[in-house]
Formats: sequence, structure tokens, C-alpha cells
Amino acid sequence: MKLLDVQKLTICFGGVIAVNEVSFALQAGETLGVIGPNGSGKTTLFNLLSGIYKPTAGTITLAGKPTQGLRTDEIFHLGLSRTFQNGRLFWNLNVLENIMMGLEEVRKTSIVGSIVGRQKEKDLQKQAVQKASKIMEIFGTLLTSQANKIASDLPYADRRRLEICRAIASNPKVILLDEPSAGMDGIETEVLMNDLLKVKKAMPELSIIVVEHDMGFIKGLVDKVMVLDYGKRIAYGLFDEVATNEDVIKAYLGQGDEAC
Amino acid sequence: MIKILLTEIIGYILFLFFVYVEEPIAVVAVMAAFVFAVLFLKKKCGEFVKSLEKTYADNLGQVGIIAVVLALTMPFALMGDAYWLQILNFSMLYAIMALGLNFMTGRAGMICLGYAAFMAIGAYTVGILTLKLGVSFWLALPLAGLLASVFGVILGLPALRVKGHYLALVTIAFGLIVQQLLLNLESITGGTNGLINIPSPHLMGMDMGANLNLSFMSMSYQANFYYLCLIILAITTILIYRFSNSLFGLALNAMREDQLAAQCYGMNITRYKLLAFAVGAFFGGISGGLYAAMINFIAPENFGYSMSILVISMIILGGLDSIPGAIIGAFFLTIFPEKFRAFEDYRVMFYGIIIVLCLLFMREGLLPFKHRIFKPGMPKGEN
Repeated sequence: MKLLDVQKLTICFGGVIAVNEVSFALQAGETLGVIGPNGSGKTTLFNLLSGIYKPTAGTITLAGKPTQGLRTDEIFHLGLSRTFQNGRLFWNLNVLENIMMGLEEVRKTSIVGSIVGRQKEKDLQKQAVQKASKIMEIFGTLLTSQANKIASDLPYADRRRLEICRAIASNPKVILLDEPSAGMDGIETEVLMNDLLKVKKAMPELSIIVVEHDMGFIKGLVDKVMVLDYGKRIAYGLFDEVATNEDVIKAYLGQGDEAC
Repeated sequence: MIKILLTEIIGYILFLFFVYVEEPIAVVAVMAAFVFAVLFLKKKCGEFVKSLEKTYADNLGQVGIIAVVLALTMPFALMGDAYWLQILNFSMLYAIMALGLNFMTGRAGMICLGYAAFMAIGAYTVGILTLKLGVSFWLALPLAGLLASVFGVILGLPALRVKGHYLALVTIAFGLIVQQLLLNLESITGGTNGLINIPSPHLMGMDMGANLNLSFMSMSYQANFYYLCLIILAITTILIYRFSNSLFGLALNAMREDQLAAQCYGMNITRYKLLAFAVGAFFGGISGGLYAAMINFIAPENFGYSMSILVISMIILGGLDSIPGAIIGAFFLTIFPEKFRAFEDYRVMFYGIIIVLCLLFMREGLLPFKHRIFKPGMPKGEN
């Protein structure tokens, strides 16, 4: 069964059609790369999938349920989690707390529960800390050694790792990675690539959609690639097919006539 | 234990000194000496100060109990002096408000510049219920808190759509609206005249508005309210502490840091925002209810914009999101200006200067928020 099914997804901002009838499907455990030049609608597509924007037309079906009319947090509970292009960690919280925010334990406590039923609250906290610690171990001691550090004090690469940990903490079915390599040099990108492969290995059932600017980065990571240009899907398929596609080369190098 | 006891007793004696020395210049001199001593200690014996801080942080229960026991003896140390007991009572009312506002603004990030409105709602609830309907104060007080909560949610609803500066504007407007309503709904609130002769609460047949006569000494009636305020402040502190240290408190922190990200990680922002407003407003209402019963007279001008600013300056001075900070800030800004009554007219300016100085030089306040420390690790014998 398809885990995520997107049909003719469209959104208009005023007169601009930012995403134009984009359709694709994702199986469990599959990794899809979304590439395209700046302004081609990649991040908008993510915002549509996670429910921040409401589509003008088209449908999204996640794990058999249409997400139309659902709030962002309800879509998260269906099993969709994401990272953001420019970080958006909880900067003034520490590493463990950031990861804990992705866990269901946080939402199991209530305001009443924090006064009465103290034992339950304590158990939940303990459980959450343990779960979060275990998730960090995916990157060895890189994060565990800084568990009580404030997120904004982390080095850049560790912030990216923390973001990934937070995104997978809820054991989601699909995660959306929005330009994870933004602002990184070649070596850092390679390290990040390895990190993502570690995640894939640890969670074989997890589907990933990764938005990228740079086609080289996703080559070894993705099963399929979708190319967007001016909000339209101009190519979709295996990496090698897409990389040699004439439309794609045109969109990237700006050859030929580019009518909107 | 000994360390905590000693430092708290030093604080106690300093306070008594502050009360008993009449000359403002001497007070300033000693306070300045104290500040320099603390700064000097921090520089020269940083290790000692750090270990002291750690002792405090690790033994919060002891710190609280010793503080409460010392506080219980305060009316005796003050010889039942009405004036200073009244000031301490106000400090505690402000501390309750500061804790509530701190939860809303410091922890959940909902800026509120109309907090006095919640106090007004609490005060008028108690006033109207006890004066006009003859309801017992002990029933009216929780109702005052709950009604303030309801208004907190009502304020929260339009505030759901705005944040930052716009939220600040909405809350200022809210404060003004409540004050105008109190002025204009004359048949219920008494308009500009306010409510007079609000009855004092009775406890086990004893009128709390009468002097407290013990077999060996007699204290002014403020001592009754001193103990009542102390109990309610202690309960408030415990409640706010538990809210803050739960996972619920953590979620509110996350919401303050980044609303969109919090939403994308499964937080129903609407619910959490309204809860933050309700909790924060509740304590404002309680504080107002106590105020009405203690002073027996309330009028709309007591709950103006300057009152909201005062509470904000308390939590900025103490340190946003810091529970001891809110209490210290409230006590400091209530007690300190008392020695300088001669400069009464400059009071609001003084608060303004405090805010500006804090934001420039001490952004984290007197007692900054301490981050939770978790011990990561796997449970033994599992996996």
C-alpha cells in the first residue's frame, strides 16, 4: 500500500501558482529526493504536506487517511515529521529536551497530572529521558556527550543531527528533510550524508522525502527523484534517468526558452 | 543544611536592619555595601558561591521549609508593626501575581501588559460576592481565581492569532477595557467610587479584620493577613513549581521558543496557549481577591496600566521564567521604594529605570532561570 499519496496538489498565493498539480506516491521505506532551482516550490510542497499551508486543490493521503482539514499537529500524529530549512530548533532548550519534544510522553501529561498523580508524571519523565537518550545513540556519543547543552550552543553539524533526532523521535512513518545540507561545505555534507544513511539503516521502515538544491548530495541516498520547476513536476523517476533528462538540464542551466 | 540556614538568617537580619534603620542614607550605604560584598565574593570566592548555589538547587525542599519557618516568626520580630506588616502583605500579593505572570510570559512566552485586569477581576469578584451577596470569603476567593481564568481564556482567544508586539498591544487594550468597564458598570461595580466596606474574612469565628491578640502580645490585624498571604504564596509557589517542572511546562517552553516548530511536533498550540493564559490569570485573580478582603476598599484606579507595568518590571528584574526570581523581584520592588517615600512622585520613573537597566546590563535578571539537568542513560536491565 502507498504510504503517502499526493494527487494534483496545487496552491496559489494571489496570482502565483507556487505548486501546480504535483502528484507522486511514496512507499514505506522509500526515499524520495525533491530537487529544483530556487523558488521552484520545494519548501512550499513541504509546508503543504505538513499542513502549514492549506492546498487550493488536490489531495494528500497519509497512511490511508486524507489530511484535508487536519491541523499541523494532527498530521504529525498520523506519522509525518519534518525538519526546517533554517533550523527552528527550540534554541533555549537543551539537547535532551529538544528530542523529548518529539515524544508522545510530552503530550500524555496534563496540567492536572502535574499536581496530582506525581508518580505518573515522574515515570513519564523518566521514560521520556530514556527514550530520548536512546534516539541520540544513533549518532554514537556525538550528541550523548552534550545532552545537557543548550541547543544554540551546539556546533552547526550537531544542530543538524539534533534536528534529525527530534524528527525521528516520534517514530514517524515519513520524515521531510528540508535542505539538510544548506550552508555546509563538502566535507560536512559528506558527514551528514553518512548520518542520514545511519538513520536509514536503523529505521528501515521509515520513508524520507529530502529537498535538495544540489543533485550530487542526494545521489547515494534516494531511490527516486522528483524535479520541480516553477511549481510543476518536470521529471520523476530513478536518479540516473532524471539526471540525464533534457528538461531538467534546461531548468538548471537555464537553456532555451523559459516561458512561464 | 547549615549553609542554607545561615544564609537565610543573614537575609532575615538584613531585612530587619532595613526595617528598623530610619535614615535612608544609612540604608543605601548598607545595601550598597551588601551588593559590593556579594560581587566581591563572586569574584574572589567564585567556587564558594557556586557550591552555595548548588546546595540551594539540590535542597529546594529544605530551602522552602526554612524560609517559611523564618517567615512565620517575622510578625514577632517586627513587634506586630502594622505599617511593615502591610508592606510585607503587599509584597506577597505582588509575588503571587509575579509568579502567575511569569508563568504566562516567562514560561509560555505570552507577553501580557494588562495583567492588572486579572487582579481587578479577582478583587471585584470577591468584593461583589462578599459585600452584595453575602458569600463567604473562602468560597469567593477560589471563584475569583476561576473567573479571572475565564477572562484569561477570553483574552487568549483573540491572542491566538497574534504574537510578539501585536500580542502586547492586544493585552494593553484588554487591560484598558476591563478598567473602563469597572468605571462604567456603576450599578455593579460602584463606578469611580469603587466598592467600600468589603467585609473581612472570618476564620473559625475569628474576624480577620480585628487585632491578633496572643496571650503575651497584641499584633495589628495585618498579622492575620500576613499568615494568610504566606500560606497562599507558599501554595502558589509549589503549584507553579510543579507546573513548570512537568513535561507540560517543557511543552510551554518549546512553544515560547518556536510556535511553528512546536506545532509541527504535535502540540495543539491553541490548547496550550489558552491553558497558559488561564493559569497565569488564575493567580492574578487570587491575588486580587486577597487584596479586596485585606484593604476592604477597591476602586478602578487601583488596577491601572502602571500596576501591570509594575508586575512586568518585577519579573524582568528577577529573571524571566525564574520562580525564585519572580518572588525576589516582587519583594524588592515593593519593599525598597518604601524607604524613599519622600520621592513618591518618582516611583513609576524608578520602575522604568529598573526595566531599562535590567534589559541593558542584566538581561537574565537577578536570579536567572536554571536549565533542567537530566541524566541521560539507559535503564539497567532493559534492552
